[in-house]
Amino acid sequence: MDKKLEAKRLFLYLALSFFLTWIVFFTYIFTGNKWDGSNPRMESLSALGMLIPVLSHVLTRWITKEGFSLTGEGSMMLGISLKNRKWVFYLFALFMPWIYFEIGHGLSLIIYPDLFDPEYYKVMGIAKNMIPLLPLVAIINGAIGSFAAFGEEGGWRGYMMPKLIDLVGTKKAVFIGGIIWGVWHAPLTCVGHNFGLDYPGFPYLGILIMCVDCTFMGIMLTYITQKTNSIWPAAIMHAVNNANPSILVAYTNTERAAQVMPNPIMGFVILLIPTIVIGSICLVLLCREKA
Amino acid sequence: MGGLLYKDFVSINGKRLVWILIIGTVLFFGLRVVFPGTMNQESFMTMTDDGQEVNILDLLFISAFACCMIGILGLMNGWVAKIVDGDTKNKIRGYISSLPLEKNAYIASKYLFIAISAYVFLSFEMMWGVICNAFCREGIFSELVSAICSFIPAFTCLVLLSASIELPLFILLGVQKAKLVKIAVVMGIGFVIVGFLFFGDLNWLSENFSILVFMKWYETHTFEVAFFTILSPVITLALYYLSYRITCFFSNREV
Repeated sequence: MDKKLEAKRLFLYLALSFFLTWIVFFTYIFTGNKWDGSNPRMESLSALGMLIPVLSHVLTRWITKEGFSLTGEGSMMLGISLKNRKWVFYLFALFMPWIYFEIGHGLSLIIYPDLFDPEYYKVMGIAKNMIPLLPLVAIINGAIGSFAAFGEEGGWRGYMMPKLIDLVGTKKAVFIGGIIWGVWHAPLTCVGHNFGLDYPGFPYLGILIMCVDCTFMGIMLTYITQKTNSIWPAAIMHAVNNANPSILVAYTNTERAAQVMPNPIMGFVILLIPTIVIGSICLVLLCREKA
Repeated sequence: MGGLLYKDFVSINGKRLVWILIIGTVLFFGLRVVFPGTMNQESFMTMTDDGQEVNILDLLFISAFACCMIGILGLMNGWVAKIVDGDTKNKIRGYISSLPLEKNAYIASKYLFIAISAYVFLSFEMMWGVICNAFCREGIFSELVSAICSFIPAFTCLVLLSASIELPLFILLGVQKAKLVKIAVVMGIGFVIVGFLFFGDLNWLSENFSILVFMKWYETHTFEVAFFTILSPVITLALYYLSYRITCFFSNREV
């Protein structure tokens, strides 16, 4: 493997990915938008940004004449195989976000019981009989409509991570990759994505926590990608994760976070604990495998 | 299996179609950027019956989006015949059965090809929805696009359900007989529609089929919509697999 050439390709991919996505994100910001509550327009704009990494992947392969093989070594990893118990990782992708979100929300309610609000689902605009279905809606919608997450995973897990692992080794790669992925989200974090605008340490603390989240989430995604040689499980898991599959979310009043927590961002940090634990286990498994 | 899938891809002029889809999407995106719904030109603005200010450009793009969705349904409907017909003409099926492939590989490839195509189209439809919505004026049209998008999976299920009926017909009965059955079914549906137009209550149709009525129904039936969204793909995939097993069973008996 020509390391210099691989590094050049990686830098080109990163430059394209950041430049093109940030054009979309900055267009969104400079037209006066802020992430102050969810609406279809905002979600659509961010979904457009999510498609850029895979576009950058294709562009990089085209510019550097790397070829467009769909499966196998150095490919775009678009194949799907369920043989040799690979289907287990598809189940992992579908259900793991539900598990860590539910544990995360449970932890939040144990540590800060004042967050519990039996009628918060009304504020969220969810009918009571819908609550038990929330995780299933997220899982099925994630599995079916994974194209936006495919946009990100096709780039990060499909191109950046294999190159980084080849260049610096697994352990360093997952941390560097996580930070890159977290920084990529920075423009949106600066307008309130995930953490809002009103917290001590804004926006740097938000960017830092996003990097931690992306690192551990990225480890899980890299693990299932490496195990299946396919980016599809990662795309599915990312999509399900973005849909926030949880029943307890309907009873966790995040608007009270500012009153009950020293820093409202603590809520997200607690939510992150299960992700960090599961991500660490995946890291051990990933490193053992590579060794 | 990869080879069989590629053969089907070629038989539907896949490469040309992929380029059309990509160029069409880029064009749609470009036009949406140039003509966003947030454009406040008076000549584009109008009012709905309930007094909301809307942009005609949004309606134009949403109509194009909806037409593309219906177009895809029609396009995919013709594919089953195309991929089986090509094999019959070129006597490929007999040739494949002589190759050291798994017993049901040929049938599996047809089912897999339609399923993959449905997923690709679903993704494109979602992307068009996202593009449409990203530049939409906030209000009824933005909500309408979201509502349409939430029905895309169910719409794709329709394609798969139709294929799960058509594939056994075309593979087991042969292209000619299957085409006859299909024409009979389509004509039957056509007669029902024409019958309704002649003898049905058209006032009921005009009262109940408008964007405002649909949006009101959508907002008051979130549970049903969510439940349908969950159930329809699961049931459809189960039926699709059942259809595959039935086709394999009868196909093996024929041999």
